[in-house]
Amino acid sequence: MRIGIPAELTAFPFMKWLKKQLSCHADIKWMHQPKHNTNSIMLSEGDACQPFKSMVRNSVDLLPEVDHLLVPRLVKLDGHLMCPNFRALPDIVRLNINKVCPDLKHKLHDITIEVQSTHDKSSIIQTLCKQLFNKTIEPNVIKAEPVVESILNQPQQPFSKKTIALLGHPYLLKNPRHNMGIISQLEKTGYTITTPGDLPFQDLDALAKKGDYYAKNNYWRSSRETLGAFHYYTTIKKPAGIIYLISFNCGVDALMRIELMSIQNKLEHTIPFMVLVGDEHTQQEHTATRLEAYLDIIDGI
Amino acid sequence: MIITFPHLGSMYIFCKAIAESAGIPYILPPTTSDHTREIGEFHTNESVCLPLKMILGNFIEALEAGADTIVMVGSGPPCRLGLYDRTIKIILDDLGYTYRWLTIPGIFNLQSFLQNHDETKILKKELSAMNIARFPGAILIGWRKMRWCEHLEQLAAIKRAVAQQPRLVDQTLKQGITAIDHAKSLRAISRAGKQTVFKIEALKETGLAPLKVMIVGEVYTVMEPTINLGIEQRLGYAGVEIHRSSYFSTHIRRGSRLDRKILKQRATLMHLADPYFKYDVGAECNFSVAETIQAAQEGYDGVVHIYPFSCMPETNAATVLSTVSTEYEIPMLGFALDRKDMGLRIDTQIEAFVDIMKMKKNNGL
Repeated sequence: MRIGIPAELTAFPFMKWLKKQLSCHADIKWMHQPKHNTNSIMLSEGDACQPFKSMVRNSVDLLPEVDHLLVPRLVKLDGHLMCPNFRALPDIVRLNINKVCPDLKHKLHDITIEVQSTHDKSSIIQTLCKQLFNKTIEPNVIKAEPVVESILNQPQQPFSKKTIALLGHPYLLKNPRHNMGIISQLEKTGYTITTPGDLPFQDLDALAKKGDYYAKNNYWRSSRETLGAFHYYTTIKKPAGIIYLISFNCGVDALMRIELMSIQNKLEHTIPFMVLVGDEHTQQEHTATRLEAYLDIIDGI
Repeated sequence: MIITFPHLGSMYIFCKAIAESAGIPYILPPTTSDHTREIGEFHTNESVCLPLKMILGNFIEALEAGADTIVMVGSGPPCRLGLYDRTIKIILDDLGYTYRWLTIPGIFNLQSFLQNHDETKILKKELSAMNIARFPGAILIGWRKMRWCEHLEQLAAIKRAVAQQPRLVDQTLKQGITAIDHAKSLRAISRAGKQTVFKIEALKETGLAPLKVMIVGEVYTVMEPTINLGIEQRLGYAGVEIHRSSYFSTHIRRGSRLDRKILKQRATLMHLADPYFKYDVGAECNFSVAETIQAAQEGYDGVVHIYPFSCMPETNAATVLSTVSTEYEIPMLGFALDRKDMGLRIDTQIEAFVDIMKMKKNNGL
């Protein structure tokens, strides 16, 4: 059975767990990138960010190549909200499918995901097994995730001198098209990369709590991940530099960028910090130039 | 204590009236201008939405003028408005301003209550018993003033389309709002309002049938004429009658959840948007779609969708509206607003939009 999920969604730890769980109940070939981009005429994409447009286009193009297309509506992960675009994603995909290939619309499956606890996760697997495989699963069949130990109270081994921390949404860090090939450029120059994905989310969440007060909790999951990671890299375990990758027009990062710059300016011992904003342009010379200058600063230090 | 508040349609009349009636000193920020926007742009970044930039600009201008207490409307997730105060405070702190902050809860929940309790702890000490005693009456005066101003705005939005001299409508409206603003009692407010209604209704008409358009979109860009570059006036001068549901009083009634009629209307609208959005995307997104469908069903000639560039919920609404417009055969004009130097472009787009609506109405385009 071929099941498609747009590649960007699979960057979230929850989606990796979901794929693993579903694979226990059927023989699945997962597909995330279409073999062919049809460039079909679709609905206006407005001023949405590039990863969002990419998710919509890939979903529509994956449809002829798969038996089922799974586009979950990610509302809440790890107890925190996702950006509003994820709430609308299945609807936008469906409307595009209605326009481009309406005869395949039966292949689209969406499920609303609001994960606060393990129980939520079990019910999601049960619902999807019913939807995709017409199979009823008992809750006790679903394997519990191993408990992730906090690393905050453990002794921290320092990073190697040539380590750069990359911040940003998981799908930006995973996809070279979205991150402007920054990872490979850094690796070519002998740097190793560390990302928030290397750290337990509950630790990052705990670190992000520093800035919360009453109704002003930073309610987006990705903001908490980025903010927590920034605190971690600037106060607990310091890399040579921090680069914050942002997709142009990302509303979540637009605010987080202001907060991080403010924290950076108040640090007693600052770490070179650079913000890189990317969009759909494939031209990479500008990022390469900025990266070279940034690494010159770090190497100079 | 000298309070200040941002410009948002006629909200300043409401806040100003409360401050005046309760005897609390206030500073009204200068009218939102290019300079206000430039201040906001300078201290934020390109992907921050226009309302935040403008509100930040308003606050900095007011603090520079001597205000020391900021009163700001709050909101909740998932839109960025819910984090405006957190972000603006960070920027103002970094700029070295000293100020106090009071959030008017946009949603009445425990967290908002705790925050409000905390924020008002110090402020209460600076208020006299007289200030507090006059507060309920002050709210009533503010509310009545705002409702009259909104009523006049609604009337003007209809009259401009058919007036022989549409600019006279704006002049009369401005005079009326000033008179209401200066009125000191409930009776004086009603008198000023009724006189303005009479004056607007008495203006000579062309006798031509107007086009009828619904404006939908993000609340701040829909309500604040300095942000949307007076889109209502521009459409009115082109012979278009304007209707919108977004008014400050409407949002207060929605947020307080006390007005059952409004809540019922919202539930009906959510249901109307169901075929397009199966979930509440946030802010006004689903309502922009629903009100467009409603406008098509009620025989409107077109819909104008306004939102700030990079607004996450409304970007999705814009995509959906491109299909709603086709399916319901209703002309649609979308504006993603950011910089202010686009007045002439808007005029050109409005001319083409009006032509399309006229052709559709007359020839069944």
